[in-house]
Amino acid sequence: MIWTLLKKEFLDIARDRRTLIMSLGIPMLVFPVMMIVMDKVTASTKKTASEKILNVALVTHGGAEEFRRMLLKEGVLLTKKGSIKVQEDISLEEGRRLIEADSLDALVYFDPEFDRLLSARLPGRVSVYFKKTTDVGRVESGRIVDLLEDYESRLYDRRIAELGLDPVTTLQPVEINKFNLASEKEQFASVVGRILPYMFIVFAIMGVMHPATDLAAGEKERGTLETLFTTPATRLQILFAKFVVVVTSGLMSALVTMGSLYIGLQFMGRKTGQIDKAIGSILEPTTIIAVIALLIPVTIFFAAVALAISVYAKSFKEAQSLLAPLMMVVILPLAISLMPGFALTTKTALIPIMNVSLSIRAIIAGTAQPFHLVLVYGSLTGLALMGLFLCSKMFNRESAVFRS
Amino acid sequence: MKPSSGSIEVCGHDTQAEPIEARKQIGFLTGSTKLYDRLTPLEVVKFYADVYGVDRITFERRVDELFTTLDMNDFAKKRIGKLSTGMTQKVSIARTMIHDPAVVVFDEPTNGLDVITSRTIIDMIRRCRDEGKTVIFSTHIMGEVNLLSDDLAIIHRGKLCFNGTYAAFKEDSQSESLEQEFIRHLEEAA
Repeated sequence: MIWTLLKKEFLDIARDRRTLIMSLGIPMLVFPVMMIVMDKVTASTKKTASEKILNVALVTHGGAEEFRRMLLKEGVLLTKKGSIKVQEDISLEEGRRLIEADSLDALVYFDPEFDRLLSARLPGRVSVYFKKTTDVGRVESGRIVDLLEDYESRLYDRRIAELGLDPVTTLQPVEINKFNLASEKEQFASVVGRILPYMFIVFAIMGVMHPATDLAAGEKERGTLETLFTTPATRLQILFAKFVVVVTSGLMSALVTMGSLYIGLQFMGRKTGQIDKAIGSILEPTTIIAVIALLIPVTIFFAAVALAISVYAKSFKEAQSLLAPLMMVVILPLAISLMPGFALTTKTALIPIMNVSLSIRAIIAGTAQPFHLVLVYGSLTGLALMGLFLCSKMFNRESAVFRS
Repeated sequence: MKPSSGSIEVCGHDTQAEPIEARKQIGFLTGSTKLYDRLTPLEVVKFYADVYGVDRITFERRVDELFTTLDMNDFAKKRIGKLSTGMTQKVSIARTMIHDPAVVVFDEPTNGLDVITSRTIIDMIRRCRDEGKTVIFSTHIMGEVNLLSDDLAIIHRGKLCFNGTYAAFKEDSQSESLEQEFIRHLEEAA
């Protein structure tokens, strides 16, 4: 009986285009598309910002000759980062107005007292005006500021040398050497390990929500559940078959996300050549098995809750609107687990969903402790059983199933 | 659902004590027992046959019989969502009958159907009766009552207005037509 019901549910859901797109299509494309788009966008933004010819106004009051020469002639930085067009016959007020009107990119204003203060070994004042609203603007203004800082360090070295001291050693009384002994795996985990569990969990829910909605509320709405209830199949058997399909869909979705991540990283890895080792570490069979093992109970829990809600809902639409807040409830502990300072401890191992995210991160980093994982697994299994119990109670309640 | 009073026995199985056994003997069709749009008639009928535990050889024989009688072979492999109301109703009837139930319940099976399809369905139901099955048939169409009834019950607003044989109903008739006699019973009860 169960096998017959399962076969029917799988056939039915496999022919639902919406479920296929939500559970398999989107997770399959998410990482490759995300990485390609990010790569293209950053590359093109950087390019436009650094290749653009900057219109810069310079007011020196006859001073700061060295900087003026750097800007106009030396062009060490300019050749590296694109050229700059300098305009000098301009007042501060006019320059500011032009920047606001977007017809000037930056204005460098040296105080009239600049040279005098400098020779008195006091700090000379210089102001840079620019408009920073976009990332492009940040890169643009950065080019001018880099040049000024370069100028400053030249003056700085000269001052120290004039005092008869060595500019490198004098101002470094302590030499600090940092040695990061974290393995590449751990370093990778702290960066990518935060976002990956989040993705896996979110896609597991996405994979669960659609079939859960379709197979319970959808079947109710289409009147096919009533037909099934006239047969010798028991409520529990019917529910079980639906449940297995929903869980399978959730896990498939998470698995496809992993596959998609692999393809995405391959793409990135080819470009940077650095991530290869990290990919290797996350795709170790033991890591994959451990991650899947964690996703199973949490997916069971999601499936049970989603099915219970869907059974209660009168229609497909009602199920969807009732399930939307569930997503929020899940994302909150996930988001908290992304914050710095959160790690897998005896306490956090007992907080549902957050513990999954933290465990996956620890597993990827190779720092997971068996005791904590047992705790996580235990609490998740408990949660899953609770969800299942709630779901079967709901399915056996005539008033819930036939609320309309 | 729990009964407020009374009990129902289907082929010796009490519906409360042995609901699964009782359901095995029933073929049940109403306007709200719908079919899976994303499956084909053949898949749906096979699914219900499996649910009722029909073996493969019996299934193949029954499916052939039913699909031929109901003239369904042309659309046996099309998705149900793409079929017309009449075709869908034929599929519903086939799925109701696939396990050769001893008791069949048909609630307005010809509702909204064309004359030819209705005729095919009525013939099918008459054959069920002739095979000795218990057929519980509800309708608003007096012609169908005339064609099929042995026993007759009239229920109006949840109240039983008449219960007896169709022969007795006709014999006691004080009106010219079935419709008028039907309305007379309702008025009497009210």
